[in-house]
Amino acid sequence: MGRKIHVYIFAVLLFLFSAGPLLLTLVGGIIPEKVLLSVPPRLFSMKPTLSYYEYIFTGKVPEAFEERGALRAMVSEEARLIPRAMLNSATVALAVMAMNMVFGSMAAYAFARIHFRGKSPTFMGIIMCRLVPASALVVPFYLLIQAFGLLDTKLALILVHTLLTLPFTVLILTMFFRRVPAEIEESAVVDGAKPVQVFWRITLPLSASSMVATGLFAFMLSYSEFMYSLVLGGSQRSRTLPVVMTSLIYNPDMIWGMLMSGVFLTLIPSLILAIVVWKFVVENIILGAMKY
Amino acid sequence: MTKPKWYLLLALLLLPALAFAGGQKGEAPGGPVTLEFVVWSYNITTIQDNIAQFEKVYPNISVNLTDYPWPQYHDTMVLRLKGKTQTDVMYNGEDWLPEFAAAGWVASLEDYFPDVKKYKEKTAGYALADMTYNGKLYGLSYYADLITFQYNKKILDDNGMGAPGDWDEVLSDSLKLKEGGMKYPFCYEYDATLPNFYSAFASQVYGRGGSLFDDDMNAVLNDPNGEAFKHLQWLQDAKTKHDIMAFETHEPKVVVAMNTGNHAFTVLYNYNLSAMNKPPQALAGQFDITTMPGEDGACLGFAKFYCMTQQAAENEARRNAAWTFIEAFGGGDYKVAKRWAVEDGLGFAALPLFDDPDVQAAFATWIDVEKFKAQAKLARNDANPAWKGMWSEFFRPLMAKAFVGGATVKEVMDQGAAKWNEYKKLLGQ
Amino acid sequence: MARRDMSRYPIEWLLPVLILVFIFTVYPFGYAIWNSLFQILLILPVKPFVGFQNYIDVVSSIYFREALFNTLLFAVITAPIIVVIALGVARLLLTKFVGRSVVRAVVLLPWAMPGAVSGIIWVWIFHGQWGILNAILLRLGIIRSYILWLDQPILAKFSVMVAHIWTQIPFVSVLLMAALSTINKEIYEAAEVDGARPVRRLFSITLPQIKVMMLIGLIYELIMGLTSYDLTYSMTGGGPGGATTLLSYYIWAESFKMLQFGRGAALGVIMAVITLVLILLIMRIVPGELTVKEE
Repeated sequence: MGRKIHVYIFAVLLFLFSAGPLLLTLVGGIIPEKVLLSVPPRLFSMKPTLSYYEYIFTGKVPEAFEERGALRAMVSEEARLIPRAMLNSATVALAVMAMNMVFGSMAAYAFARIHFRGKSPTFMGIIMCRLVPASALVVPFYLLIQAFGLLDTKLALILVHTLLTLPFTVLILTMFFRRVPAEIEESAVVDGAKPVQVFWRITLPLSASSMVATGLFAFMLSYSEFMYSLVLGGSQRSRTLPVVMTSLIYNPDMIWGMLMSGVFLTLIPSLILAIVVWKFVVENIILGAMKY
Repeated sequence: MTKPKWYLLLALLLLPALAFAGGQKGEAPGGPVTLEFVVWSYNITTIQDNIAQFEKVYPNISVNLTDYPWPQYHDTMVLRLKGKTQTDVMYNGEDWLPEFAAAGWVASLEDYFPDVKKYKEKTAGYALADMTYNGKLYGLSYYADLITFQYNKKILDDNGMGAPGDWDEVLSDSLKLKEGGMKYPFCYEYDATLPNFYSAFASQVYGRGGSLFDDDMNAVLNDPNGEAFKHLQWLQDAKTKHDIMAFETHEPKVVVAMNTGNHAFTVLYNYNLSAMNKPPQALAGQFDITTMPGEDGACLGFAKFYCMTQQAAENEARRNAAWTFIEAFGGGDYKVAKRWAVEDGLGFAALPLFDDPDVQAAFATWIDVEKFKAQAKLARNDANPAWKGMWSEFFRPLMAKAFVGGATVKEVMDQGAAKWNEYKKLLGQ
Repeated sequence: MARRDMSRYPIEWLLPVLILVFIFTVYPFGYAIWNSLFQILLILPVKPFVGFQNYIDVVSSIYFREALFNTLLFAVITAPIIVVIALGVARLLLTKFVGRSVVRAVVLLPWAMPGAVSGIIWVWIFHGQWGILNAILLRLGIIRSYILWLDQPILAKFSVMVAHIWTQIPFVSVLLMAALSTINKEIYEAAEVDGARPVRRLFSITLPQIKVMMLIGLIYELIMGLTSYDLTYSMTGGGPGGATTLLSYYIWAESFKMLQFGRGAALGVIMAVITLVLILLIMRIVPGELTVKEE
């Protein structure tokens, strides 16, 4: 039982480190600006307020802005763009996640289990395309997307983000698929199963946790990607969260508290995804363990 | 591999080429025009409202708005213009105009619409100069502003000090405040990746009555007896010797920092004063500007403006629509500029607006209007040849090093001057 | 070892990936490498072929040495630290304890933040005048006066590394969790029967089993470290005085700010080479099978 103490200490430290900064944004989004950044801090001397969140979703200008009868409150309008951007980001990221899981696993299965000539060069070719930094390829990517007529569309982002994540997905899944015990697959083949059936019925379920890992990886990378979302977008219809948040950060009318509430909001889709995913993982890891 | 597979792979390789075979869409002859208007992301809702009102008056012109965040605007426009994405009217700035004009991306309004000249006498001098390249006017102003010396008046009053008149006073005031417990009286916007890191420096040099370049566009910043040299030395000493300076990497953070009450002085784009001085900021109302310290009291003035692209200029329908749009937004009775001034505290280049009672009333809520007018009268624009942007990108990291004592002022100024002269030789006419 | 029969090229498994990769790799790579051999200053109409001059100019430029040092330092220090911490985190999250599902969900969250946004949060933590860390440390009596985390060169490097590590731990943790869960429980049980202690189990069983995934994690984090930009620059702007400048910034800056597209492309190629060299080095030092054989 003494071992458990170590576990809890580590868990608490981990929680503080991971969540601490994010809890900070939660606090920052509800503390009035007047006391938010006072030195020394007296964060709780004024009542917390949800007015920033209200503004973001409804456009109702927080009372604090109208205190001295200013002609028109200079509230950062950019904050109102957050909900739509969040939707765009989540949509694109989910699509990227799906493309990665489907196409990446198919390719990985071929590399892990099928024996064919040209395997090594193909594999290397796919992996190597991530060697050149993405920022050096902006111009040709832009010209390509423009030629396809996809500027300012979510589809362009889905394609580019998928490209940025597939090499890693394929690499990781190939390595994981290889670890699935060959005997299980071979006995299925002996029983007359075709490769597709082996893939679908055996390999995938036994690699559930790695599929989850790469799916999350693809989602998170797409959700947080900035550079291509910036140059390939242009209007609100394809604008993603990272771009809006950057505008917000550099906006002169920005109030720190409003910024923090925006930041906290960006966490929500990923929090939902995390909860959903972990439930799925828990069920599958337990299942997987029994298979062995 | 069997033959069919080789063809397949070849087809894959050629796929990108097919994409380019598509070509540009054709232009509809006559008929309604859709203008592509590109801006940076400041108050898009207001811009859209302005556009809606414009479209009501001119029903055969519809405007498509695209925006990019301000810090990435220039770079994204370079990509967009280089890629020849349809762009008709765009925001442009004083340091980018020569670059874009030299690259052949923007067109002079004066060449196509000589009528624009009538606005010249109604435009503040520094703004007019910023919108002119090779003697031709390229745009009408969206907003124009100054880089001013802003301070916490209440703190100074409480300490029995008046606003500093020159940089020696700034230092002595700071040291006095430091003795009284304020660790870093001067809050400086310090970020080598931002063009205004350089502009703020130039503005301070103008206050001293100095220049970085002479009338023939030669670099004089490295003259050890010049004000530019002396001021960089002042800044370096302020940080490393007297320790009166704190850094923030961008103006919103300076606004935040000033409102903690831990700093007294700063140099920023003037509109930041309105952000600093308005509720719900903690110390709203305590701030003001004073004439840029130094013998001259001059400061940097700059203009951002609506510009027509070369792409639009080459199509008759588009360029007419572009001119109508630019005139409505940047000229006419200055309705749009007035709205920006009154609602958001943005400065303006239109001389008539300085005396407009609504503007004055709005400005009075956050700035001393007389001081503002006086400072605007003294404003100068910076030298802006075609290589200015690139040179500034080179020079700013060097300046940043000097601030923290990572290089001597002489080294930095000499390198800056050498690079400027190198560019001048390569690109100067 | 019997030689297996070769199947035909499994095009139906690979087609989508191949299409995407081909379209977005062949042309862009070619474009970049081609451009790196020409002097392309955007406001000049001429684009003379200059061979390797761009590469020479970039390497001898005023920023290169410091940015290269900073970038390598950043990548080489953060990557192993991330992997080691992530291993601990992964192990922890596979142990049962009360509140585990909360910690699991929370651990993932830093992953979803765009770099610039994480940067702004960590600025609030590390700020020299109004930072939370300083306030806490002062209150706890650990420091006498505020530390300028972002204003001193070495502290600034430290601060951006901490922030970067924070954003990267979730991914490697999840990766290693997946890896750990593929280890056959029976091996552990056999080891326990043999009386092996936890530390021995770690080194003799766990690590060899997940070696490949740790290697992948290390390489990925190395690449992330080498190409990182948003987080650092939103925290420090590359300052103070160049202490946190990174090569990734200059790839962009050369092309879009200095308008030297040839040099930007050259720097991109240089970075690709550096990355490749580092990866090959790692694969030499840390044994693991990351290749797929034909057989």
